[in-house]
Amino acid sequence: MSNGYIRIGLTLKTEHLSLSMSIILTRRISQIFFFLLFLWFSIVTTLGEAWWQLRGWPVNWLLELDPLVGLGTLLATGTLYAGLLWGLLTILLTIVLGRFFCGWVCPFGALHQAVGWLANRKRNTSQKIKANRYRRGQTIKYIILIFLLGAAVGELIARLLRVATSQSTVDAIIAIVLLLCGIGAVWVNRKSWQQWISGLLAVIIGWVLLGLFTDGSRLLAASLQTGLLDPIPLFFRSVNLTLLPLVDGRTITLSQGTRIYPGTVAIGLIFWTAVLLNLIIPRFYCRFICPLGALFGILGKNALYRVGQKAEGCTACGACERYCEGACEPSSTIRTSECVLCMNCIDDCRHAVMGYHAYPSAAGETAAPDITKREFAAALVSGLAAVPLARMAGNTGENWNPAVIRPPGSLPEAQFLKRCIKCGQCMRVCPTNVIHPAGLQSGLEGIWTPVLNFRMGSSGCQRGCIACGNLCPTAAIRPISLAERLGKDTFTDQGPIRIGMAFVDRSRCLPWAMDRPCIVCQENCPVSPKAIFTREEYRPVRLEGTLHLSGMQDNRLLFDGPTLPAQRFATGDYYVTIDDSHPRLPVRIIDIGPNGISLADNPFVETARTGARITVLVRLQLPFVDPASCIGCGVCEHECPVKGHRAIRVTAENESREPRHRLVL
Amino acid sequence: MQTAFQKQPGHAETRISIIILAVLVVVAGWVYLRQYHTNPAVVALRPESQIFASSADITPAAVVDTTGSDLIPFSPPEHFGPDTLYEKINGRADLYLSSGYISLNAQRFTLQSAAGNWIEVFAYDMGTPENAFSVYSMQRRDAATSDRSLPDAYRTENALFMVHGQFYLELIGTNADDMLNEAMGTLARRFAESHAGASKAKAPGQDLFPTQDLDTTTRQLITANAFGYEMLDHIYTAQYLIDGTRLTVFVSDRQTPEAASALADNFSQTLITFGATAVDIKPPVANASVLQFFDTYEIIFSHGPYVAGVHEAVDLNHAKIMAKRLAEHLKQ
Amino acid sequence: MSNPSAPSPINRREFIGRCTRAGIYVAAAGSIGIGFHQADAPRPQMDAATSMLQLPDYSVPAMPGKICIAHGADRATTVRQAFEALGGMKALVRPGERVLIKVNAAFASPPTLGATSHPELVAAVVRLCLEAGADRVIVTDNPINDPASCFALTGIRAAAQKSGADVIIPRDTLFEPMTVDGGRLIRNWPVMVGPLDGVDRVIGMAPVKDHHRSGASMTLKNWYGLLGGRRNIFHQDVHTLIQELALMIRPTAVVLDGTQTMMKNGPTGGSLSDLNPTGTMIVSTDPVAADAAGAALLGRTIADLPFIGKAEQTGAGTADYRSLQFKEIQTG
Repeated sequence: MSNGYIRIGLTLKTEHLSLSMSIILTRRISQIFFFLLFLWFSIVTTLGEAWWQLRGWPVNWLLELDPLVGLGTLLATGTLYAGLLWGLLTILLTIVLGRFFCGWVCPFGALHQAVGWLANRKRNTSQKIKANRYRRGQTIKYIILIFLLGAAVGELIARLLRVATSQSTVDAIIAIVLLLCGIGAVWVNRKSWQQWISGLLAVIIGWVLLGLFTDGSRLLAASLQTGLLDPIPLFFRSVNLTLLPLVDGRTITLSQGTRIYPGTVAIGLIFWTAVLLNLIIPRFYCRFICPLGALFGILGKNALYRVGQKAEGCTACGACERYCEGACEPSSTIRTSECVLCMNCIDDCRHAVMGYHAYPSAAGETAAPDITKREFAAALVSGLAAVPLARMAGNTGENWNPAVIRPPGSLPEAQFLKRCIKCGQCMRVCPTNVIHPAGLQSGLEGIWTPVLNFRMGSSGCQRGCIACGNLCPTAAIRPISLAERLGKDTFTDQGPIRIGMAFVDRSRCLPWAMDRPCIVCQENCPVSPKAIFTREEYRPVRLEGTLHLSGMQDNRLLFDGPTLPAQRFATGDYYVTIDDSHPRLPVRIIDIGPNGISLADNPFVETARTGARITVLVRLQLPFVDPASCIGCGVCEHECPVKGHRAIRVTAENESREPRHRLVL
Repeated sequence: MQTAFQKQPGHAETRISIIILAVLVVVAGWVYLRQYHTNPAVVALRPESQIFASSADITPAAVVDTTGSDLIPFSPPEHFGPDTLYEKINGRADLYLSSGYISLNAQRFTLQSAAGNWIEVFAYDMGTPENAFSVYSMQRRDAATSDRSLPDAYRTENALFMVHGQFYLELIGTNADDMLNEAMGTLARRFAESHAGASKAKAPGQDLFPTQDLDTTTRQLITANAFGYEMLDHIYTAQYLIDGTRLTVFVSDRQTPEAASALADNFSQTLITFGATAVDIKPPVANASVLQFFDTYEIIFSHGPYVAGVHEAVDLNHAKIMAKRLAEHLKQ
Repeated sequence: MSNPSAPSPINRREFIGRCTRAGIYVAAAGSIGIGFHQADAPRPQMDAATSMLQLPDYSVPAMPGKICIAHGADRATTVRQAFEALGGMKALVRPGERVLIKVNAAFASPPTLGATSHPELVAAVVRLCLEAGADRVIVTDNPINDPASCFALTGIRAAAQKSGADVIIPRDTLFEPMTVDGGRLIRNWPVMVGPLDGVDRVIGMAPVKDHHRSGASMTLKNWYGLLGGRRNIFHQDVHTLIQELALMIRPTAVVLDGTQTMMKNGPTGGSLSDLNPTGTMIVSTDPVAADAAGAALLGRTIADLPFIGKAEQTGAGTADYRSLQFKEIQTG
């Protein structure tokens, strides 16, 4: 990338059969490789066995490599789930090599780098250098990281504080230590030791007091919000929900129906803002916002290998900063925690001074990020304080929102919010497109977590589908088996997983409120025996006037009175009785024509009198929901012909995951 | 001074680059190999994943034991209780459900020598022989032909219908093939053999009717609302052919003489309130009521625990003859 | 990197230092990562009974079943004399013991409406306990309406404190999940066990009330007030629940206040016309017997109240109250 044109960076000397390859080329190949891998994983996340569908593609691998996901869930839940162990590999490599992930692997970073490069093409060298200077604002990403980790660590801290007050062995140890400290304070004379002892005393007393004060209170709670700004989940979410659904056209179709996702405007806005901010400053997101980059900065600040200057030769020309991606000031004291190992400085240095080596830069290094203790403390305390404040709304307690229907296999709400990274994989893979990102329905913590909406999509939450849980990288939605979903084999006692319950709105239902036959909900109910049953009712039809029998012939009744259009009354749902005649059971109308009403059979033939009043009845089957069988799958809501506000709607009562929401014993 | 333009990547750089590229190739290979381990969610889409062994029985027995014959089961046996019957037969379920239905076992069988066609066997357990006979007789198809080798059965072009004890059997073939029809007979016989005990019992209601002039194929048991009257439940009917005219005769066992005479009175009174008039003749049977209802005649009487009579007879004389025969038969 | 210079001796030491530090970080990260690794998905909370909490048996072991029915209009007099007839409170409460009185403070309702325990009765029993030498008397309940308002408006708080008892108002930290041994409804259900910590004797106190769902609300149903959570769900199987309450706790004695019986519109009542001045106080060591005796005050039989039979089945007592040491007295 020098002198105005692109050098491939790969030369092959045929005389000597030697190959030399520029590290820049390798880095570009790596970035393109992972970017394409990311795109491929996004594309194949549709349920199916074709090579371009899910099959066994490890579509969550990039999320699992992301150590912020692993660290966040570890702090919030105390466990490192399954595949998230990959994040450990990234951490280990970062400790040794530095922020290689940012410069070589992260697909979001690659996108920013590309856009930034495009934006920079029209700038001259001094403008480019200016764009890449270090700005104090680059510490904001560390504040964001500490805040998010503070929000995740509340429960762990509560548990540690409880140790001081709950276990008698610990109490005994504390008492002994305090005693020793007391003796030491009196006995020892040296100032530094006294400072040590008083410091220790303060810590212990503070720990015990805080433990007593917070015992059983709601002052400390944990919530996983790293997914909001963590670049890998963010990129997956943006592509899955705002870009890929738009792709389906004539040439490429990734999913069967038109997929929609309510609530994604904000997601798209954030994505496009992040991308377009690169026009102002390259890698804007990486430098100022990315908490994952901040984590790598902290982990990699004392890496074994780092970019830096060799002992002599630097003329302070500044050429190294022309394409510096991390804005880490390689020309002067390099900020190791900002360096993303793009190697552009090494390539651009005209004096062969820059290198990647095991010793510190000759011009000096600032290893640690530039945040002050005060900023750190403020970020941590804010994170710790934010979650209990958010919980005050009661969304995980009494004030739970019945409109929040979570996917089958979801953990109870408080545990769910400690695991969901809002990556959108469940929304992407759901074959019926009923999962969409929440707005504020489940509180602030629940932004962009999955909720179900049965009005959209193709057919409610399919009964034999276990896709969402088997895609979730953090087990916020557990990976259930088909037997558990359906309540078969070893799960027969528990019964099928219920995500809610359907309620018939009798004021809107066609048979209940409008005398129109319909049992679409009952027909579509997929469980066996059906959770919707009907009770038969005959209701008199309102007519303009009364019908009187004027004659009879075989199975036909001749009548005086208002006309009965066959289109409406001969559908097989209408019946007649004749007053004061036997039988009392209504008889079905087969046809209505100029020759009268044709009946299925004519039991009135012996008993009916001319002039008797004919009552036309409509036979209605009124739907009722059986709470013991309903699993809340939403097919009934989806199929209900009352298409606006449905006449049968599912809400989250009786969901399996929350015993407190149980409706029936 | 080396300018960037002249700079060549050194050995170390090249070596590292090659190593990194090798790592990328390994990653690509691993990703490719991983896609062969199909995700459980995708496995669940396959039809075979959706079948579950019921917790009660691991391998349910076939509906008919076909060992040693040319017939083999073609699909797994299906079992339906009262709640799930309509899933198999839809609207027809009502008839069975109102007649004491207990369960349905259904299975398809095919001939090993003639694949492509099969017979589906529906074995309805109706609880009692009367219930089974009721649904058998009430659904009798029009184009029925009898089969001497199978008592209480009739055939249509591609089906065989049989009642055996408390079971009502329908065997429906995919077409009117002779081989299939013969196979149906085999299946029906085997079913009867394996459910022996009931075969020796007389067909329900058979001995209630005098045999002279009886059209045996018309014997029916109507469990409820016979002739459209609520009070008439559990009524056996049969048709007789006297001098070319058809007569419908009904008999019902009411358990006690009091119940029988009460029902006879009730029925007569109901008809009178609907407009029937008493015919002024000497009744052919003691205490019988002879009514004229529009243009047909009705004779109703009770004898012991039985209620019996002639329904909608066109000719009064024939009706009287029939009533007498009936009364004499019931006396025995 | 085309001209690598070898690390100088100072750099080498520094390099080794950094290597060590990196090694420590790697080891720490690795051990934390692998140590907390969990390959299986998190288990959802199943219905398995994880709570081993059991309440002690508060009954006096030496004492056989006793019941006294005292007639009179003044609560303080009738309850005192009833306890005397059973051998005095000293037979039940030893000096230095702690007593908990579980009153009915379910509704924020004035004492005249008879929906809650009468403050005069609370004061009388508290005094009796203190006279017998009790070290501390606690009065508590988990009301349906707001707890503070309930204890205030019913007059129970004032009466208890005036006579020397402590009132404990429920709060979240006093509840623990509990499973009743042999029960299927109360499984891992929050129960207010906090106030019972360190208590030696428990006395249940309830007014006689009509109840639309269970038929009557007397001393057996009184323990519903120890349950927390969304306990309304148990109304779907209320008689079994009352049976499980009898399994959950065995009190020292129960006081059933039938001075004013709520005959209809229970359990909230709301009108003086709902009350009937039956002037009866029942004190017993057997809650089943007490309820059986109290049923007559409502004009109901034991057959009308299935929970009595169910509680008897668990061995919590006997419905045949006359078979106990039975006394019936008239007070002034």
